[in-house]
Amino acid sequence: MDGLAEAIDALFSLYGLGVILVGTFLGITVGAVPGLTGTMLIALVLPLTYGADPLLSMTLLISIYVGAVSGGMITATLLRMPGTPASIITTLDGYPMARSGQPEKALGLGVMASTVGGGVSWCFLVLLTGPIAVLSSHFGFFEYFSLVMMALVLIASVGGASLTRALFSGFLGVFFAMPGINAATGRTRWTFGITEMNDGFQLLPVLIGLFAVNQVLTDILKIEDQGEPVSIGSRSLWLGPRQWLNHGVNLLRSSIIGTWIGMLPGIGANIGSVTAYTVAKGVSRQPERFGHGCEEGIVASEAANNATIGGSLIPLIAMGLPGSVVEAVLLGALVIHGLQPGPRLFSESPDMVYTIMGAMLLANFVMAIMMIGSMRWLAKIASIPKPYLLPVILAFCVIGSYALANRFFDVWVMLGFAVLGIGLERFRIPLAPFIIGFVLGPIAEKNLSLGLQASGGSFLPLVTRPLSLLFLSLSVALLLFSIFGSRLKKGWFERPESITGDFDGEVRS
Amino acid sequence: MMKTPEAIAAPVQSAKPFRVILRLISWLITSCLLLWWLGSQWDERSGESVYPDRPIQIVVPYAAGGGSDTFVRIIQQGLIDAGEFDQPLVIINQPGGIGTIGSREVKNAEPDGYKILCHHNAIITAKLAETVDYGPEAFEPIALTGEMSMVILVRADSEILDLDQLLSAASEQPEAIKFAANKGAPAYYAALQLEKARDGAKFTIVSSGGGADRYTKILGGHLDAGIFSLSEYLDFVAPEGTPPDRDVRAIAVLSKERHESIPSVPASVEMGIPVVLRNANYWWAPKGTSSEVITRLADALRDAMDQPSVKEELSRLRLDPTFAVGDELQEKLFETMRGFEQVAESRTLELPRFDLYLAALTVLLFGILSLQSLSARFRAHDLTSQEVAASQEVGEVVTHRLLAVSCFAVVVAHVLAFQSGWFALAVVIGSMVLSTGLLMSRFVRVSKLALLELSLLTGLGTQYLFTEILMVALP
Repeated sequence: MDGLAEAIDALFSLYGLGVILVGTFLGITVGAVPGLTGTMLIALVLPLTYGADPLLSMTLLISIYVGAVSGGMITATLLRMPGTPASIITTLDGYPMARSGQPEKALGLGVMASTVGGGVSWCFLVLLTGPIAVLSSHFGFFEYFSLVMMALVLIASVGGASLTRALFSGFLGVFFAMPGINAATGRTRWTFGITEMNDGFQLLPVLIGLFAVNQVLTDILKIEDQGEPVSIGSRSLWLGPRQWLNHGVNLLRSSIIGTWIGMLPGIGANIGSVTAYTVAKGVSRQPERFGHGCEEGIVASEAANNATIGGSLIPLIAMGLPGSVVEAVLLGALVIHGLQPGPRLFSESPDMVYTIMGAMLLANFVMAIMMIGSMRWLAKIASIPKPYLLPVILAFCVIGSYALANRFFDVWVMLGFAVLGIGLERFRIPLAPFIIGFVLGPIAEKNLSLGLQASGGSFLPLVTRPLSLLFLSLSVALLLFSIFGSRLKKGWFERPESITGDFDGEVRS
Repeated sequence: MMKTPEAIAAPVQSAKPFRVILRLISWLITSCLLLWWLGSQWDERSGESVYPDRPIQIVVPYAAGGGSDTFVRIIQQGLIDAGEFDQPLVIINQPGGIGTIGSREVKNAEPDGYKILCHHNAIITAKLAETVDYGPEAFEPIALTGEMSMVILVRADSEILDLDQLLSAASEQPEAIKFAANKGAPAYYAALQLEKARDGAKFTIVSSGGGADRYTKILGGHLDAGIFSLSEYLDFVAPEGTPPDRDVRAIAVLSKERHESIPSVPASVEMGIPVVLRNANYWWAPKGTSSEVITRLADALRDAMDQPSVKEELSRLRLDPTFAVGDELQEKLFETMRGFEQVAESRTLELPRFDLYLAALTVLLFGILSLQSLSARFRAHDLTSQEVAASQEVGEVVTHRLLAVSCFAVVVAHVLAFQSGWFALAVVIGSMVLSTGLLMSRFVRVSKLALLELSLLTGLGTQYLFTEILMVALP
């Protein structure tokens, strides 16, 4: 329990609490400003934490993460512009409710749902991480490979975009992860004789380019697009206990859905909120009210997107597998601070594990208090003119990439990937699978290669080891389902009811 | 209360006292930073001409916080404690490519003693593994400071009790023992040397990442034995009473004699197996550095190693405080290189070319995607009029493509200016913020004065952050 004591010391020190306050505030702010995302801020802040204490650095990054996922609902509700992709669904009901004269209630519901979602997923984080870490310490090379394969298929099939586009994006990510040193053979490849390429493309410049610079340039394209906010009055955002009870079932259900979706590798907060919203609409007695300022819609979306935080931290800590783009950055942050996420993290640096968990819980509370207490200010920050914001962000993109390893190569990589990102988005190819592929591809290749080295070149253990076989068959099933499943579903809906009836009969007999 | 765009866009005009105070504070910070920067520029102008008359950069080819970095920072503190140089010592982390990115940086640097490298045995193996085409011969060795002993670990319930049994097992059943050692790293060559020590012995050598990864795989029974550093072993070994399948056991130290911290573990040479692997930290200067500078640096390092605080820190890291310069250093280097070179013939399992398969798959998916969009376009052929209308609509939203392109061009131009090294960071960043901001302000009205202040604040602020807090090396 030394680790727990150390974590408590770190978190409840002056620095620790200060870092949580600052991080949550920054997170809420970037979350609220349309065009700035938490991923962007975390990627830009990471280089500044190199010299700092690892525990404090992770506390800062986690606080930003919690703040950013929550802050998105402010502009989603008041401006109908989701501050972050995670809040797209909140706009559906939040904005209509705000327009109909209840902006405080819409925001209040969102804050309540976010807090509960974060809290519920935190419980799962605390309960599940340990057992999963123990389980995954029995994984060999082949099991890891199959698990990563399943993750890659998952992103592609549940990613929301078309399967081909998502798969292409994922594979392109793996493709760009190939240059550099092959972990299994120690040899360099695809370096074109450039020494800088010996290290391949680093995650951070790629991420800053794809997400931050790309986003800034997109914002510049639409620079006059500021929108007119619904202004909020002086009514309190705090909702009485009756509201909490009224939404209890929905809160719990959406939080669990969010946690579960977050745990699945490769899928982020937006999918979590979409799923919870769809389910809430499905079980509602008045589904027609969804989309017209329905309380349940706001609650479902916001509870689920905050719940994905705790969920996605589970595979990150327990297995070293990132569940979303932000997790990929957090993975990089841990590695930079000399820690290897995975089964060993629990026994080797329990202080770090407890710090991450504690930071999430504290940031969750700080977020709730901050949002309730200073919503009117936060709403104003969201309308800072872009000519002030965007140039500063561009400057941080440049120096952040440079500071990673003190070389200009990374800056050029960053600029190059910004152009690539714009190109991909122009052809409606999603970027999230790219990053997940970029991170998971090398992990998959390394584990397969080392497994082959250990088995003397035989692929057989992939199917003879039970867990590996299970993961592989799950991924094949998922892939087949997403290729043919949608066609099948479409078929069902278009067919007359009698055929569906026949089908049911066949199943029964 | 609805805000008009003007009220948002022109904060200066609104005379709220709170805003005025905020602006005053930010101008105050900006002018303080400006004064600090001008002052630091002034300092640089005046200087003497005895080596060193400017900061010495120490390149660490690994990430901050790692073993190499920790070691160099201890020596750096030792150099400061010993009062060796008046000039600051700046540590530059240039990780990547198993140390080759940092080593190439120093190899190509001016041989003036202002950029030196601290790198261990991997500088030798990087050439043998053909990662780079240069080895120690491309540098002037300055000194050897500190050596780490290496141990062979097995799981505590393993039937293998000593090095002799390990080699016997490997020769009775070739390739049955799965041995953890990263390909191309010093441990890999030590594993090959071990095989050579016994006729017919053959391991299945598996590269398996960092110490924690290897340890997990040994505990999980996926690997049978592996080479670890002494400090890794002492970190990993479980407390008394742990069941043997959750613990590891050291069967040998790859050394001439036993190590004082684990006296019960026999040394390899003592067992009659002449394989020695000690990971030494060497200091290197670019080829052609004058011998006076080399001697000056070597003397300084000797003094640093003699500092009691350094001795204490090194023993905490389980590093033996060895020190060698001149002929002794050359002899040690030569011995280590000979050991690696005699087993340098590559014996690897030919892995499938995953990278090529992957490239093919990506191209294939690209093909499918193009076909899909082509057919979609073909199907939508009848809807041309709608499409035109849609594209016109898009055209209305995206009116500022030229603005985005010129902002990007401005950023590229500033990165080029930054890379040239002619301008200070504050100037580059300030000018970049100002010019992109001015470009954007043609479309959204903002106060020019506020933009100027913002660019000064960002430029000077980042300069302060980089040079005073983060100690990043600027070009």
